[in-house]
Amino acid sequence: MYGFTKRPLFLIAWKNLKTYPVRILLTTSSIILGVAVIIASSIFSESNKSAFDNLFSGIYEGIDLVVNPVQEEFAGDFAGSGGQGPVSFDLKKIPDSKIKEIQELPGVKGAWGEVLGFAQYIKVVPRECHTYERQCSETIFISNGFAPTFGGAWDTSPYAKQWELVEGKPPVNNKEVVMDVTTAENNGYSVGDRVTVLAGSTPASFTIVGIAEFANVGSPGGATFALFEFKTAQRLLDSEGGVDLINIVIENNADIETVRGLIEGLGEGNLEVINAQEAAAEQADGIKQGLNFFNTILNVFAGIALFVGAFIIQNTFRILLLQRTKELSLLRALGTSKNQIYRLVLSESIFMSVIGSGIGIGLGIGLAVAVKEGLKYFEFGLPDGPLVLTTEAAITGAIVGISVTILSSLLPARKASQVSPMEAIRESTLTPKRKSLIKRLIFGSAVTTLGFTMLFGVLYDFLDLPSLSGLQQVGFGAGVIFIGISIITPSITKPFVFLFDKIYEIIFGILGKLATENSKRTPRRTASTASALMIGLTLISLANVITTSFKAQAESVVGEVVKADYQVSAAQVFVSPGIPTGLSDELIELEEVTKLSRSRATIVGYEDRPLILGAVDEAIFDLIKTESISGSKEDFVKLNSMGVLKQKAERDNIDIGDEITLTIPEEGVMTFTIAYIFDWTTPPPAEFFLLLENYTFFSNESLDTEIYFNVKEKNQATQDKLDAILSDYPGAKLRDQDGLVEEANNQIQQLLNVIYGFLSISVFVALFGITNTLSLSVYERTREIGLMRAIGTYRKQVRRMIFIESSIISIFGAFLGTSLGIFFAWSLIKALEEDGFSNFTVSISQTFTWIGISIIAGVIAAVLPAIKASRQNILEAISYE
Amino acid sequence: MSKLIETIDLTKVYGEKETAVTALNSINTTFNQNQFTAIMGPSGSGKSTLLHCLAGLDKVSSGSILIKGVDLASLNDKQLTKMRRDSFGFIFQAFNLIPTLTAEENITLPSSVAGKKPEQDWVEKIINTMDIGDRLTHRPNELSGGQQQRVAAARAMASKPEVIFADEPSGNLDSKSSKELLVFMKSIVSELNQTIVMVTHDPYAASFAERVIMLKDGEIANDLDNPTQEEIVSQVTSLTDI
Repeated sequence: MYGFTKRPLFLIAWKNLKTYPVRILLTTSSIILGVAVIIASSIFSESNKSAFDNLFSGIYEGIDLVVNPVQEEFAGDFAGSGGQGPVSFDLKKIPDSKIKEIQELPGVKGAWGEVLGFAQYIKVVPRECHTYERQCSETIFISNGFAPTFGGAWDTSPYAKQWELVEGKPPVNNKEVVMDVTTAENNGYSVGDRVTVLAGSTPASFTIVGIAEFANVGSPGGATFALFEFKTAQRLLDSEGGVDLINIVIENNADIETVRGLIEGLGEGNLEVINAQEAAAEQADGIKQGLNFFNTILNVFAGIALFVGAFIIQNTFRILLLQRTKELSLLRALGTSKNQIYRLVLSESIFMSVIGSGIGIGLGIGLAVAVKEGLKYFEFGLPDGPLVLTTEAAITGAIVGISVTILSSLLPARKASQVSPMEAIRESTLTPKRKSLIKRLIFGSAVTTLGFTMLFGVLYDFLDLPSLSGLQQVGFGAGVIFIGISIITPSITKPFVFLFDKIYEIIFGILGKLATENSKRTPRRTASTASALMIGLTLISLANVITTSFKAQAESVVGEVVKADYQVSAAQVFVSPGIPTGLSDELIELEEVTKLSRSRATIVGYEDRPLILGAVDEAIFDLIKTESISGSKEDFVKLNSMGVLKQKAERDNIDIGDEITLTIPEEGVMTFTIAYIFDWTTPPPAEFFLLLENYTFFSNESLDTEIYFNVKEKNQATQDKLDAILSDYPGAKLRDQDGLVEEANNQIQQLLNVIYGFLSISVFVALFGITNTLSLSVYERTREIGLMRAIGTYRKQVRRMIFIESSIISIFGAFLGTSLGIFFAWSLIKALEEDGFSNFTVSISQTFTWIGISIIAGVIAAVLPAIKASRQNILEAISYE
Repeated sequence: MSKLIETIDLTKVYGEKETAVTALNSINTTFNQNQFTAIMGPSGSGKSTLLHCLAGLDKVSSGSILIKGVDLASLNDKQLTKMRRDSFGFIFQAFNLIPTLTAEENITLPSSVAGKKPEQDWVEKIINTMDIGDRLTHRPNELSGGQQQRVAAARAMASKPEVIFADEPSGNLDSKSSKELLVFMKSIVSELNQTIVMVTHDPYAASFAERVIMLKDGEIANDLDNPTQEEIVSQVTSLTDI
């Protein structure tokens, strides 16, 4: 009895994969990467979510009720948004006498008040002196990455479980502080050390008497914490006689709602009592939403990587099947139907997709660990916690990986099933039949033209699609152009490579000629390999041009807009949203200072909403570029006159002579007449302005938001004097015009670096594609390379030929991508023209750097195939089958 | 006629231990300059292996091959490659030409990879001899099989090699093209003073050679000078019959 194979094709598929494991890796490498990014981003955000869950349950651990003061209606909105703006405003406090009253209520087991505010540890480190300097030290603001810096009161209640001393003792007087363990470890502080803390506006020195841990996570959310004795905290954190909230623990047998009612009654409408555990869930949700946004961004980049991956898979499949033409046609000759071949190929792709996705998930876990460790290294404060891989994430990753792989194999599988049974008998010609690319060119050109019409239509006002906004239409048009170009690329491969022909032949001789000819031989393959690279480079050069333009814009804006010699602003808006007014007083006294304007702000009520009301000195109009729209600044300086920003005026239809009624805390309702509408090109501190000296209620503010001033002569002596004054105000930052430009540029550059980091994943995937294409192309040309070796071509020369070929692919991809990216950037800036973006700058050096990087990367991608080609056994290559 | 190639106890064994197959067993012979030699033998006699070893494409197991007194085994891959490029020419049964290059580019390929300008007069002479002057700008797939092999022969000679190795050059050709090619090959030995070592199993092809070496089971069974086709056929028959 001979064996009978029930599913012969399945067996063939399985044997194929078992025999060529490398094929699986090559084909699925891009899927592996894409899935890995999806998984890593999910793990990353899920882990952070669970860490934040832990954090908030830690904050409210053992607490039943939390009492908050009821804020004035308009201020509440600000409190909810974190309350960090360029203005300082007074949040209502609970008088600390209430703690005692609550404590005495029936059912209340314990109650203690919390004081919370911004406090900043400062490290002053000596540094080398410049010749002109008297004071040679640098002030370092200690923080854990982007996490905030807090100050609070040490809880003495026996029921308070949040902070636990790891070492030392609690603070008992106004000279002592307890530091959180994370900050202590990161900065090498221990009990007994002295440390400077900036809380409010003046720094002071404290002795560290204890190191404490928060709910077993070191410090909440990576924030730095300075915990003071209660009275000291109240004084430092602007809470004299009051607390920010009261935590309550109830008796075991007490009903939570009853106690809640009692407390609310006590507050006479001024106290809001919330259920602590509900609040924990709510606050954690708020943060999770923020993390979701981050997750979305990561997923977008994973999507790009997968999109590039789909190109590569399709390509690889096509080549692999081409290699097996003989085998497949033999199967056809033996009586296998087209349909069966189709299913054979598909079952192989299913196998591959499953394996690839599995590896991808594994790699994703590794990637998440690496990212977490990496962020830790950069002290990017996120709460500690175990890595969490949810089942949904794993399933999503697997489904995406599997479906992308299978979808990309559909077309190649279809093509493979069309193979003629005669191929097996016929002398094999590995070069595929050349189908005309004309149809493709026509179709692609039509699509591209459509895209250009949409894009230029909106930019030059001849076509406006009603359902899309201008920007959307530009984006949509760009997408259509991109697809169109992708369709065209195989048709333009030849003409493009033609440009190289002569140059390459001159530089590299016959090897250059062979390489260019090979790229032209399979235009589709060259094109789709290049397309994969094109996607990454389009996005990179888009980001590059946009940011370069923004930088140039920032430079011209700063130069044009800030006419003052110097600007002073708050160094750390978290700690102190402004600059102590003492500084502007000192600067005004200085004889070198010729003209100075302070900006101040306060929160007022306007139509039942909070509003930031700004105040400036008259000199502002000379120090900052403002544009008069209507009215005049002469009217503006009159009493009860108000200035308004152009944008606000347009939005709310405010005109000269309109009356604006505001509710001003401690002053009551006041009415102002709009006297001046103007445009202010820097980010304005407020929308409504008054003249500072006209109103006393601004003097109550202890902070300026900004100071602009001119000096008699900008020289070293002046600079020294200014530095000396500023050294007393560590929370203030002095910058001249160059400093402002530099700062703006640094921020843009940081953003660009992050984008580059993510986009390089897609370029990386594209490189796999180049390696794939080249190694398969080397395989295809086994005999050719063998022949070349037989007639005396050195191994070195064979390698060089492969490198040259790779450089053609990468130059093609980089060139297309860069051109498209620059063009899209131009369109985007053009579309944003009305919003004030006018500068379009292409950094030639950066553009060429990226093209250079692509070529080098392409050559690196060719290393393996090149080595493989050069080591080919000549006899095997030339021997006749 | 001077000695060009000399083999001393040339032995080639494939595989190891139990699976070892001796393809060539202690071959001692010489190949002279300006001579057209054919190596014949039934399938598995080792004729192709001998050619591959002589051409430095395959390594010998023991014994040595001296090319003008230089032992091939003493050369590294780079030196061997240079030797093949500058001193040897090759014509294979199939796949002789790079499909992306024109006939002319294929002919000058060895000099191109050497970075040398081909000798114009010599190349022109070969092209005329091979009668492919009107096909130079064509790609291989635009040429007939006979034309392709003539281009291959022209390529083999273009760099004025010491010796041309041909492995069943007429194997894939119809009888007319086959005869044409062999006539050309014979003429380049007699008129252009070239040396050819050709492997074939076809007595008709071998009859164009001045000397025919018969191989059987890895050993030289016979060495004939200027044999006729009938002599070769009877020798081949006697070898296969035993």
